[in-house]
Amino acid sequence: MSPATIFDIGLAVLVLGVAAWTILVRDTFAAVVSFVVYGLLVALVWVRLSAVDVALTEAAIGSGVTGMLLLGAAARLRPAEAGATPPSALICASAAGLCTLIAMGLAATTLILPDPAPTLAPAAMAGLPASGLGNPVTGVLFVYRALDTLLEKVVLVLALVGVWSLAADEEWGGTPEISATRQPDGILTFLAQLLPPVGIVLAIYMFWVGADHPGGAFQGGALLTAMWLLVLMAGVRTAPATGLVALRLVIVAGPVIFLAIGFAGFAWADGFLSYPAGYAKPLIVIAEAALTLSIGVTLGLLALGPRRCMASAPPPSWASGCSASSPARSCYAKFWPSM
Amino acid sequence: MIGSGVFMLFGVIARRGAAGGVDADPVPQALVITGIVVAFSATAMAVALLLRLFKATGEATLAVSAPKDAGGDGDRS
Repeated sequence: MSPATIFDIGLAVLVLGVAAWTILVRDTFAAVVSFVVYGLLVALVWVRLSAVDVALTEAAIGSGVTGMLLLGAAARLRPAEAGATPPSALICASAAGLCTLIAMGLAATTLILPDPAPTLAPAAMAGLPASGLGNPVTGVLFVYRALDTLLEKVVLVLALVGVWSLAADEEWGGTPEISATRQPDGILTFLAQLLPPVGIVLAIYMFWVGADHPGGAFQGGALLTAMWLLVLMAGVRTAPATGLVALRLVIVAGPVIFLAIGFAGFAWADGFLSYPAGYAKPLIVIAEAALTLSIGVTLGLLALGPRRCMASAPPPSWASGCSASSPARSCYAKFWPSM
Repeated sequence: MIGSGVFMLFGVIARRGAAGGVDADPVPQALVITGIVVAFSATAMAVALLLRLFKATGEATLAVSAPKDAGGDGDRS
């Protein structure tokens, strides 16, 4: 057995173990932390599956930003957790049995695929030179299936509109609160001042190489989000008010520019979202640049929610810092009191 | 977690579809990247709904005929 096979088997066992722990553990905070670990392990699985683009996306969005979102929710829902009763053993056993059956069935289906399995890889590679791109995944995202990618950006914006719409009337257009107790000499403040320049350069690099190598607008945008959230968590800067016109323009700029390039396809090429010969790559890079910034801001605002701490909720004892009387403290203070 | 399991199934099939000079079929990979972003959007929306419910009622569960543990499980996807 080669070392790579042993590593793969170990990784698979670890992923299954962490997944089971995430589901079984009763404490919400422990479950969220476990979910983040699970996401990072899954990113490793994607690397082993030769899908580096997906690994970057999974690590940044599936694990990082989702973890941040769930941590915030777990902090605020902590008082509701006390009264929750675990489901009965029968329900647990039947759910586990059903899931195992489905997983075994899917695994068997994958194993009996003919070798080589049905694939669109040769077709995708054949059309790639015409677009001037070197990364087939970017090719699929922005050339063959550009409409999917455009609609996905619209879904992101719609989700943000939905999240904001769920804010209470008095919170509408307000500033998402996230700032923890500011500690000018704290490690978080230090990291929030040290990492963003590096992170922003890396994000631009990731978006730029996306045309020819693993990377792209999603990965770069998610990295921007991470840097932004870090700065906000450390309290170095405050989040902008969600009612700010400039902020909203940045959010829609990416999809609007992509859409404009799509409609321009009627004029200079065969139709919607088609690119004129020779200009495909520059146009895709322009669309990706606008999308990177929009994705970064939208993901961050989705993770922040309409308001981080809700002043009018009945303040439970642990969350007294979240009440209107002392807005400077954060829900996170409960989990990381040293912050 | 079920979602990420489905995504990995796509990944395995993509890996088995390696051909034409690439290590894995790029089409399922692109679908999964789109899927991860859309799944995150849906999760954010669900969390916002749950928090609004909690704010309105002080509970993280629906009053009738809902499993009691929705507060613990509803915020994961």
